Order: sequence, then structure tokens, then C-alpha cells
Amino acid sequence: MRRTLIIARQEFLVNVRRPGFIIMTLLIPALGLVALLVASLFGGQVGSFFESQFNPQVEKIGYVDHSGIVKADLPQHKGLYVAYADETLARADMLAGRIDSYFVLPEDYLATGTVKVYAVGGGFSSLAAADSGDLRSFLLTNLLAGEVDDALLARATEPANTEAITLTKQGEISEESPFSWIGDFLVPYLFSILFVVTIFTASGFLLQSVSEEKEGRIIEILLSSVNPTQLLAGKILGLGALGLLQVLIWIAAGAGLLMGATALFAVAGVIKLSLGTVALGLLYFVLGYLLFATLMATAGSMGTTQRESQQISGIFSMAAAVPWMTMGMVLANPDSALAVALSYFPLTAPVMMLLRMSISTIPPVQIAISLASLIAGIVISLWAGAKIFRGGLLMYGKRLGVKEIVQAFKQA
Amino acid sequence: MSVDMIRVESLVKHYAGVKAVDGVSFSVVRGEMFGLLGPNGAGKTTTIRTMMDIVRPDSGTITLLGRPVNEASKAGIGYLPEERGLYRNYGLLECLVYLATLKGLPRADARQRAMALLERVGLAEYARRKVKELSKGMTQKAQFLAAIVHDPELLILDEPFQGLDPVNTELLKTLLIEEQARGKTIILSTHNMNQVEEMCNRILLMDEGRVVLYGPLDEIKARHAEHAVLLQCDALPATLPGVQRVEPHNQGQLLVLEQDTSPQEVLRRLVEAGVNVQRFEVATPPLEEIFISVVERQGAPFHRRSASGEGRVSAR
Repeated sequence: MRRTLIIARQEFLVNVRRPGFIIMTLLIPALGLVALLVASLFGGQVGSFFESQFNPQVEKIGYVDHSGIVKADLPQHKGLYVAYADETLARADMLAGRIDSYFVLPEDYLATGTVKVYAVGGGFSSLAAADSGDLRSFLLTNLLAGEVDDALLARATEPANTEAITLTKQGEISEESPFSWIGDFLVPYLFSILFVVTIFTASGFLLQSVSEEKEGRIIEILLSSVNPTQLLAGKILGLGALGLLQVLIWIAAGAGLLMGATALFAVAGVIKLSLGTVALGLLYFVLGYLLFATLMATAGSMGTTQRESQQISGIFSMAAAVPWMTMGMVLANPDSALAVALSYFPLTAPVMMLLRMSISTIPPVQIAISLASLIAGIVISLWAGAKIFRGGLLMYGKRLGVKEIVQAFKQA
Repeated sequence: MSVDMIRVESLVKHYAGVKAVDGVSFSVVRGEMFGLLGPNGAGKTTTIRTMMDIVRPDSGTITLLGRPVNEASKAGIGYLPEERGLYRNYGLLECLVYLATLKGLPRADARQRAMALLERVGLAEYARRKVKELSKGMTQKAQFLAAIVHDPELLILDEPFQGLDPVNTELLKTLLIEEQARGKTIILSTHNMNQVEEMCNRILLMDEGRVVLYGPLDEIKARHAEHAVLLQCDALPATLPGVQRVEPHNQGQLLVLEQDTSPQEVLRRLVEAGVNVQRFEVATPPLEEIFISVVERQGAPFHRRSASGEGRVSAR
């Protein structure tokens, strides 16, 4: 145990000095600080800038009406819609850039409802133009104008002005600030990502450390003092502590920045993370680290050089990247069958659960199954990894093949 | 009274169907310099790795001062493996201190001892330099220091002279002799038999995983001595009774004697004949020749896989 701690201490001290670690650890809070300063200096302008990024550009739309339902120039649509006598003129204007798209109402429009929308630039832009809510309300106003009174017309074109009200579990209306989405979604989501980054930084260092010792022919000297299990445990412990330090620095910086934000924008109680969520997040962080650390150490012992080891470890990194690839799907539906399945697979469970936790409430059964599978994965990888580690450490100038791995299992 | 420092009994180790070590037994006495010899691939490194508990034997026992080798007793061994290196990005002193603490030395003691050793080999001014900034010779010295920094009772050195220049070879020899004088036990593994002939009291000679020769070097040489003398003189008489034939030798001439003639008789006849004798020695073959003849006698024609000697005859 004493030797394990000596190794852990050394790994921690050596890697905490790595420029990569220092830059990474300080960069994230620095970015947050810059964001805070920008927000405080430019205030509302920043908000409206971001808002404008999400709204489509206002477009000029042409139309050719063969059905005769369009009443000339209703005040609501003045300047936005341009009437054309025939399609050739409309098309020429669109190609010349005077209008962005145009649509044609055929003679039998009232009977069929068919509207043909034309736009330049491939499927997506015409699709967007055809699906526009503006088109619907334009047609609705023209169909109903003069037929019904104005109040009914206004309601028909915009039947629902929604307002979301969040209730607490006790059924009381909670006082949500306009910034509550920061606390409910953004902060946990960012931390999930940072947790994952830390898992891969620390286990990446582990791979580097093992292959450095192997490539530098230090391993046999170490094994004359400690056994492979002590070596593995010391490294996992030391670099785990390093990862934890990084996370703690980020959490502290995050808390500081939020306090700054609170003071600057007079926003109170933005973060409402439950202690349970934080504890579960940390649990997934630790277990995820343990799994990937073991796998990376094993990969490190298998290759003859650092580059070769990194190639081997690529298999595991790829598996870990799968949840990122499906992120769009997960954001849209965090409880989809695919998301649940990936939460149960050990290699994808930590990342997937950390992502899902930030956007939805996960049923306890799923958490239990996912944790059980993850722990089983860790046990198996530790068992197999320790054997391969032992067998691989002293293989110089030769990459561990299937034959050698089988041999390692027989020996250890 | 001699005490066994380390005892190896009936050691067997296979690697993927190949017998790397096949029933090897020997013991090393406390305070001696013991030579573990054999061509490359003879099983020396595997034997050493099992002694260090780095690989597990298939069968056989290894005891260190009467007890099985374990984590605690490994702290009493200094090991210089054949494949050796140091942390390139560490400071020299930091590297030595870390390796010493892994052997159980308290940090402060480790620092003190490492500094003293660096001074002994003239590297004190490089203590804070990174290992990768050192020259090859300096690194080699540092590697040896890493093996002795925790002041072990037993030193196991696998090919310690490999790649050393003559100056560092001499320094290492001196350091080893110093360690032995301080009562330390040393096991020297090498394929270079000349080096062992110079330094070791007892040897174990291995080939293809088996013991070929084992015992005190003197006895082995005497057992395999040819009936011959090495002679350096002005001019040899045309005929000399009792001498079968005369062979040229790089240090003079080799006189192969008839069975019933003793070296003393030959010396007397030389003096009587008025020959100016400058050197007269009972000739013994070098270890390498003994090794080859023993292996061939055992039935396997020895193909010189790593013949390092030059086939000369040395004298005792």
C-alpha cells in the first residue's frame, strides 16, 4: 500500500506540472470569465445578437394567384409579399435576387389546397420556405378577411399565445427567473461535458505514463520494487486525484463566476442542482474514470511505442465517442430506446448518463442497471487488464498479439 | 561459515512452448561475486527475472536468505536489468530519489544517499539536470546508481558492461569491487566470459536453459586444464624430452606435455639446457573453450551463436 501511494504521489506531481494540464485547467475558467465580462460590458446587446442568430432572415416572397383568393395588399402583409401576373416574371425576379422565393396558387386551390413553392438553392431552402408559418397565416388572412370579424381573424391566425408555468413537486408555482434555463440545463450540461473531458485527460495521461515507462525501459526497474498491480493501482490513484483536482478547480471557478453573474445581473438563485444529482454525477465520473483508466493502462502496456499504444486505445475512445455522435438525438429525446441502450453499455454508459442527467430525470431502475453494468465492466477490465498489463509490460520490440494475450492469461 | 544469500532449486520456466529455463539449481554465498554466464538466449535473463519475482516460474523454488522472495525482501536487492532506462523528463536526483523511495527508503535518506553517490561518480553538478540532457556515459553511470541507491545487500546486474566505454567499464569494476569489499553479494550476468574470469569467484554457466558448468572458477579451470605450459623464452632447444609438441601462442609458446611428464620436470630441463626463461606458467584454457568443449561433449555440436572470445589460450 505504501508503495502504491508513493507511485500515486509521483504520478500526481509529475503530471500536475504538464503544460497541457495547466493550460486545460485554467483555460475553461478563463473562457467563462471572458464571457462574463463581455456580457456585463455589452449587456442586452449580446442577448439580442444571440437571439438574431436563431431567427431566420426576413424574406421577400412573390406569388402568382390563379385562384383569385388573394385580396390585394392587406395591411398585415404590406411590403413582404409581391404579386406577379405570371410565373415567368416571378421566376426572373427570383433569379435576379429581388425576391427570395415565390409560390403559385392554382385555379383549383380552394378545392385541393395545393400550393407550389419555388426557391433557389436545393432541397433544404425550398423546404424551409414551404414549411414557413408566415405562408399559412398569409393564406388564412386572405381566405377569412372580410368574412369574419377582425378579432376572430386575429385569433384564427394566432390561436395560442403560450406561457409556460413550472410547478414545484408540492404543486406550488415556482418563481422561475428568465435565466432559469442556465441553471436547469446549461450548467449541468456544461459540467457533464467537462467531466467527460477530465476522464479522458486523466486516462490519456495514464496511457502516456505507462507507454513512456515501457518505451524508456524503466518498467523492469520498477517491477524489481513493486508488482504490476501496485504499479497499476498507484497510477490510477495518482491520476484520478489529478482529474478530481481539475474538476474541483472548475467547480470552484464555476461557483465564483455564478456569484459574479448574480452580482452583475441581479439574478438570484440561478443554480438549483439537487445534491443527489451532483453525487450521482460524481459517481459516474469516478466509475467512468476507473473504467477508461484501466483500459488505457492496458493499451499502454500492449504497444511497444506510445504511438502504437494510442492506436490500440483508439478502439475504446471510439466507443466513448458514440454518445457524442448521437447527441442531437439525445437532446431531442433523452429517453429514446437508443439513449437507454447506450446507458446500459459499460463503454458508453458514463458519457451517456452524464449527458442525459443534465437534460432529463432518469428513472432509478435505469440508473441501477447502468451502474451495475458499469461496475461489472470495471471488474472485468481490471481483471483482464491486470493480466494483460503484467504480460505486456516486459514485451519489448513486439506488439502484444492474440497469442501473447492468451499466454498472459495462462501465466498470471 | 558461509551463508546462502539466494538459493534457486529446480527452476523451470516455459515461454510459449519453449523451455527457457530447464531445471536450474544453484546458490550464491553471501559476500561473493558470482558469475552467471552463457551465450545470448541461454536463459540467464529469465532466471534473473524469476529471482526478482518479475516472472513466475512454472516450478522450482527461490529463497532469499532462507525465505521466499516477496515485496519486502525485494527491497534488499538492487537490480540492473539488461533492458534499462531512466525517466528522461525527470531531474537526475529526482529520478534516483523516486526509485529509492520505491525500495522503501525514507525520502530524506534517499536524497542524502543519492547525492553522495552522484558525488562519488562525479555527477553531483548534474543533479538538477534532466536525464535527457545527460550524455550516454553519464546516463549509464546513473543507471548503475539507481540499482545501488538504496544500499542493497544483494546486487543483480544483467549485462552491466554492455555499451560502456573503457573508462566507464573500469569505473564500474572499481565500484563493484568496493561494494563487495563492503560485504555486499553480487551476481554478474553476462555473455562475455573474459570479464567474469577477471572478477568472479564462482560461476554458473548456462546453455539452452540448462546448467553446463557450476562451481568455483579455479576448480572448473583445473578440472579442464590441458596438460600444457605457457613459455616465454629466448630460443627453444630443438628437442625437449617430455614435450609432445609446441604450438604458437600470442603470449609465447604453448608446450603440450606427454602424459607422464610434470611441468616441474620441463622447467628443470629448460634451466639445465641454459634457456633464458622469462615466463613459465601452467596453461589453462579460457572459460569459453571449456564451455564449448563441455557442450560438445554433451552431444550438441556447439555452433557459435555469440562467440565473443577470440579462441586464445590464457594462463593461470
